[in-house]
Amino acid sequence: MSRDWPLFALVTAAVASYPALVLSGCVLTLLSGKAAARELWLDGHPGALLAPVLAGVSAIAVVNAARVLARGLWHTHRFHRWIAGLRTPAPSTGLARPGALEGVQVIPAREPLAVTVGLWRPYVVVSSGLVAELSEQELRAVLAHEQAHVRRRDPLRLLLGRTLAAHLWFLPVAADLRGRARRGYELAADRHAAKRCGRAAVAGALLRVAALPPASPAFAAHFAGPELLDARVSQLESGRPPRPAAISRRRAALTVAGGLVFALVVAAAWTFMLLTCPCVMPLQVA
Amino acid sequence: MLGPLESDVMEILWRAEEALPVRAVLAQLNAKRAAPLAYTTVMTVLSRLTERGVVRRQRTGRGYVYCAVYGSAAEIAVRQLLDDYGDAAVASFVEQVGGDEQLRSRLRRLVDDP
Repeated sequence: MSRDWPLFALVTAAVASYPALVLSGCVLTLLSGKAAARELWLDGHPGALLAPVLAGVSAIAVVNAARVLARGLWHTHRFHRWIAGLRTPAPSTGLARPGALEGVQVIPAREPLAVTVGLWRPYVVVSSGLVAELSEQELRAVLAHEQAHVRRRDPLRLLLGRTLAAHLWFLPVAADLRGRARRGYELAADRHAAKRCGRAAVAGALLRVAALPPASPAFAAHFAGPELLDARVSQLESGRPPRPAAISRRRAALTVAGGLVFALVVAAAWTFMLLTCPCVMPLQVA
Repeated sequence: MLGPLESDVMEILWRAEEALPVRAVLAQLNAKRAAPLAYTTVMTVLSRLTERGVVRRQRTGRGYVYCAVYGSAAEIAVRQLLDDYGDAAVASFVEQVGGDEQLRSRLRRLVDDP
């Protein structure tokens, strides 16, 4: 986990936000059922006034996360079904040792494609267009890259990161962390491929893919964009992962502000609980 | 990932040498059907396919003609897969190098000088 600190940070922040959800639920229950609580509400106690805000933020977080997670699971399931129903035989690849493609699903499509799909037992899918275009060594490099994703269960990590970032919608830095996690996975997979097959093969594969006829704009939208590729090329050149760009000041400031507001609202709700909740009051007396 | 009628329409577009107007697609569809389809049904199917980016629509004179964007059902499926997944649960090797000549020349140097 030490190498995957962005995901670890996301998990920690998401877990830390859960007590707030419970707390806001408690406050709302008290407000609806206890006269003393309603009096404080009328007096304008900040805990009472802010609890609905906290409940709203938490509810949006949970709904966001559930939606992203459900979508990811559903699409993975649909993709498995589609692959299982695909009865086209793997095209002959002309490899000297076709064993390279063992366990790899080849789909008949001209678009260059090499992906790892599946959460618990991921597998590699490549397109016949990609296989036809690459030399054997380059294909091995691509497959080594994808094998690294398989071994680390990167699709699962990606879905987890996406879900947690959706949960932490009130912290702008969550999206940055998700991007960093993804960047880390791709760079680690490239390092693995370069170690196994040589950096020339990885560079050659990237270059050949780039030389293929441009995919449609809709297709291009799914790739991470020039920054990640630039980082991948730099890593191939120097042999070590380049530093990621610093998080912008505005984002960092917004995140600190978001975190502070969140903590203040939690504190206000907690003091409200101390004043009104029968189960917490003994603590205060002691 | 394509419905039955959508598949039939795509088959016709794939067989055609040129972009077809709705009328031509309708005529070919109805050639082998007991109950003929309405013009509006086929037009709806074609506009839905256009919205999904599977079919391209071009203006000619007074009307529109349609042609397939992708060469096979598998390519459409791949495209939809990426549309659906975004970067949620797939890790992809392929990146878009596109027109960045500087990145290309850096890659070329790496290939030539391992």
